[in-house]
Amino acid sequence: MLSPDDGLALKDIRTAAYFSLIAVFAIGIHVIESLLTLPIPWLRIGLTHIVTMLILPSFGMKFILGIFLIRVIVGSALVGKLFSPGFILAFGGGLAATLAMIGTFRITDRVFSFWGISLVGAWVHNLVQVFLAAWIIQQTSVLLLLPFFLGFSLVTGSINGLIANRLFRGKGV
Amino acid sequence: MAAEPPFRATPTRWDIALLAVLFLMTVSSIFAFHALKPRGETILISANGKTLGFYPLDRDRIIRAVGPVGTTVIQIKNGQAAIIQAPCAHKLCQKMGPIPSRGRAMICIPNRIVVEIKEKTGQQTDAITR
Repeated sequence: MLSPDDGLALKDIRTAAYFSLIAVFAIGIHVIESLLTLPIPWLRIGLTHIVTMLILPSFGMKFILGIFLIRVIVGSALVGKLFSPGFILAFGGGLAATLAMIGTFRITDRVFSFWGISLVGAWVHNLVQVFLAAWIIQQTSVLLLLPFFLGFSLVTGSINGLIANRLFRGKGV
Repeated sequence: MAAEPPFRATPTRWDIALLAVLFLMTVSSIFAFHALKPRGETILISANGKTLGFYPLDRDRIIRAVGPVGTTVIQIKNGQAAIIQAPCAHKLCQKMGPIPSRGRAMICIPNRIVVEIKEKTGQQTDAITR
C-alpha cells in the first residue's frame, strides 16, 4: 500500500489515485460498450476514447498510455476476449489511436477541440485495424472494406468528440 | 501546464476543416483500393466438356468457341471476359455481362460452353498459404 511514510511524495499518491479511478472508469465503459448491440457486429463506437481524450489536457503520455493498456487488457479479459483475434485488432487500433490523439493534442496546440482530436483517433483506429485484419488473415481483399470503415469512423469520431466536448465543459452528455 | 492557454473544448472551424479533409481521404480510398479487387488472371474456356484453352485476361481479344448449336463469341476486354454473341435461344450468358471475380463462371447450356475464371495456371494457391 502506498502511504506518505514510504517516502512517496503526496503528488505520486494523488497520481496513483487518479490512475486507479480513471482506469476503473475506462474498463467499465469498455465492458458496457462490448455489451451494446450495434446493427453490424464488428462496429464499435469507441466510447472509451472519450476517457482518453478527457485526460489529455491534464496527464502525460505515460499516464494516458498506461490507462489504455490496463483498460484494453483488463476490459478484454472481463468480456472473455483476451488474446482473441478481435483483441489484437482492438489493441493495435486502440494503441495507434491513443498515440495519434496524444500527438494531435500536443502538436496542434489547441487548434482542434475534442471533435478534431476524436476524428483523428477514430480514423487512425479504423485504418490500423483494417490493415491488421488484412495482415492476420493474409487477404488483401479485406482492404476493400477500408472506405466503409473510414466513413463510419467519421460518424463515431464526431459522436465521441462532441460528447467529450460537452463533458469537458461540464454540461453532461 | 500553467503557462499554456486553457483548453476550451468548443468546436472550431479547424475541426470542420479536418472533417472535410478526412472525408475526402475516405472517398479517395475507395479509388485507391479499387485496383486491389481480386481479378482472375486467366479464363478457361471449354466446349462440350473439352478444354479449348486458357486465355490471359490482361490481353484484349475475341475467342470463338464452337459448340453443338453454333459459335459462341467470347470477348476479353479491360481485364474482364464476356460472352458477346450466343447462338442459343435465350442468350442468358450474353445478358449476364462480364464476370468480374475469381471463381465465377459463364455457362451456355445449349451450346455446352463454359467460361471460368482461373488463377494463373500452375500457380493455384489458396488464401492461407499465400
